[in-house]
Amino acid sequence: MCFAADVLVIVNQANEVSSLDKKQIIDLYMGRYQNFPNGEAAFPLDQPPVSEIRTIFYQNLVNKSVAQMNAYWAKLLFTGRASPPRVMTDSLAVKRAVRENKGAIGYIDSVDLDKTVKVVGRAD
Amino acid sequence: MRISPWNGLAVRVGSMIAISAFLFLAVFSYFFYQRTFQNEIRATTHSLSQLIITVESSAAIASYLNNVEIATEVVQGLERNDMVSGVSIRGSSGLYLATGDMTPRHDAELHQYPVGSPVGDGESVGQITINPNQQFIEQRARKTATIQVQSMAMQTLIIVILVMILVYWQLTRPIRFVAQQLHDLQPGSGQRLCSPAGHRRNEIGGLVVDTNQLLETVQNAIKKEQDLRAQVESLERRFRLIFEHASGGIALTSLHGKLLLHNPAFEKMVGSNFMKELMESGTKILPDIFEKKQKVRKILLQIPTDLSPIAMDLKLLGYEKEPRWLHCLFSSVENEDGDLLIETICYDISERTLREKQIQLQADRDPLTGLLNRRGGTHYLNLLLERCRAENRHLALLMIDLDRFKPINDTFGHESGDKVLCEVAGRMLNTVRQDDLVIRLGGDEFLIALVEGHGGLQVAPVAGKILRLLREGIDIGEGQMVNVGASIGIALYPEYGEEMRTLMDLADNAMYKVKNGGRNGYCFAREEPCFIDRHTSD
Repeated sequence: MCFAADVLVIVNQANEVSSLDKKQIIDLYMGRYQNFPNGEAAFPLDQPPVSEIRTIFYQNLVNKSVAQMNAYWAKLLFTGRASPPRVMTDSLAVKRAVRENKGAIGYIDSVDLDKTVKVVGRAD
Repeated sequence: MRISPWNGLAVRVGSMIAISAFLFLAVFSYFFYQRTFQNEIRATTHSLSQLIITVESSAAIASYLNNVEIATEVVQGLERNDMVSGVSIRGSSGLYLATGDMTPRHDAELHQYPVGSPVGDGESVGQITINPNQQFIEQRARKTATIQVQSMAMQTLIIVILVMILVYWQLTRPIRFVAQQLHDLQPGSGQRLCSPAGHRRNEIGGLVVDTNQLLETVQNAIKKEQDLRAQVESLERRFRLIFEHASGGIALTSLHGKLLLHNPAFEKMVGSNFMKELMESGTKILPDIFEKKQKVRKILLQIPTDLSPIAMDLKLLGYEKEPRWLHCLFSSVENEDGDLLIETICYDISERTLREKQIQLQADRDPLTGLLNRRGGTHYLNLLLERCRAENRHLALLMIDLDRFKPINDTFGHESGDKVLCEVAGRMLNTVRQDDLVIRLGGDEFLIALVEGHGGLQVAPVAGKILRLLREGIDIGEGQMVNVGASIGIALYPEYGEEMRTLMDLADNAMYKVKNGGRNGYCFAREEPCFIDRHTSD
């Protein structure tokens, strides 16, 4: 069952944040806060718009479809105050970006997890 | 009857409906207005909440993200609405933005709406507060309510007008049509009403049919009544003719003689004076006009018990010079009420009575001298004797025979003789008193009856006086004088006899004694000698 797959939130191994609860993950991905709770700047990463994982992630997190999230961000874009998470091409690209940036935060299917990234939470 | 259009059914029904409709409207529109107003206010509140819903997601984002731009957009967007005076938005993370007037009117309050989190976790992230534009809202509500009430009034007015028109068209007009026909109709004529078009089968048609039946009945009744009246009138005319032109007098009275009805002939017979008194109520009754009023009164009361008519000749009171006699037939009749009345039918018999009297008079009198003749004389002598017998009075009979009368008759003719007889009769009448009788028994024979008066019976002096008077010369015309004398035989009642026959014979005998004794004297039948006047005896 694809939908039953666990969606894991990952950060750079060097990141001091050890765990994030659901609300903290939401605040980061919805653009409310641009920083981790410890004050480090955070750069949220997104899966491709038509990916299953992205659908599941937002469904589990804020109960919104991808289209709804797009509309949300479209509204915010005009204010110029916030920007949506950067879209990666796939889970590998996400992992790579997390590995290479200390402040990056992303989400992947649990099957794609490896030791190069640190799991700080899950969206379920 | 002319009906003013303002009193017509249409106007009356219409105005009644109009009055009740507008009374209803006045009460109802007040509540209707209030309700509409409240509804409008509620609708506005609802609109405001819906307005909030449309901006809720933006407001949620603004509050969530503490985004002033979106918040500004939200409040300005809301404030632009006419229903809104002022708006404020407060975010839980410190956002606060307000535009417009946020002081609520004294009687109104601020509307507050919570703003939920855009991430759908049910958490409230802020609050929108709206100060509604109460003035605008109420003004709009008033306007709406007023329009509603106006349209209701307009509908009512249209219905009232429609009802008036329908009442006029369906009721007043056909009724007026029928009423006008009825108005123009002559009672008893053959005219009939016709139904207004389109109303033949409804109540108006029924009314027309029933009215026509009634008219039919009335016409028949009137016709019958007219025929009957004509018959009665003709009969009455005939009766009146009989009654008024009857030669006999007819009068109807009560049992007590009060005059109730009479015909002209009756009035003519009775005379206008009596008529006037009879007509004036209570003055006189029928019996009072007759001499024998008591008798007539009794008869009137007696008739109802006898039940047979009573006929009699009655003399009217008060016509002394020309006595009036009526032959009256009294009979009882019963009127419709069962009362007994007296019918009197009378004929004037005055002339007949007068004629009878005259005939009797002629039979009793000597046409030449006017003295009683033998027939009349005998009748009255008997009456006189009866009276004297009853009153115990004395009576003297003087039998007189003229002396030397026959030669005068022979010499000078009968006319001269008649003159002598008339003169002698006059002289004898002048000698006697009122109560005494002078009778010409026939030829030159006379009889005088002397009745005892207050001064006794002075027979001899009277006899002497008669002798003297008859002895005097008599003018028989052309200067010719003749002389006669008389022989008188006297009989006295009751001294010489009781019966008239006896007394007459005695007087006669005594008279002959004088004749034989030389004439011109008198002689008492049972006494001697005779008195003979010698002075003129030759």
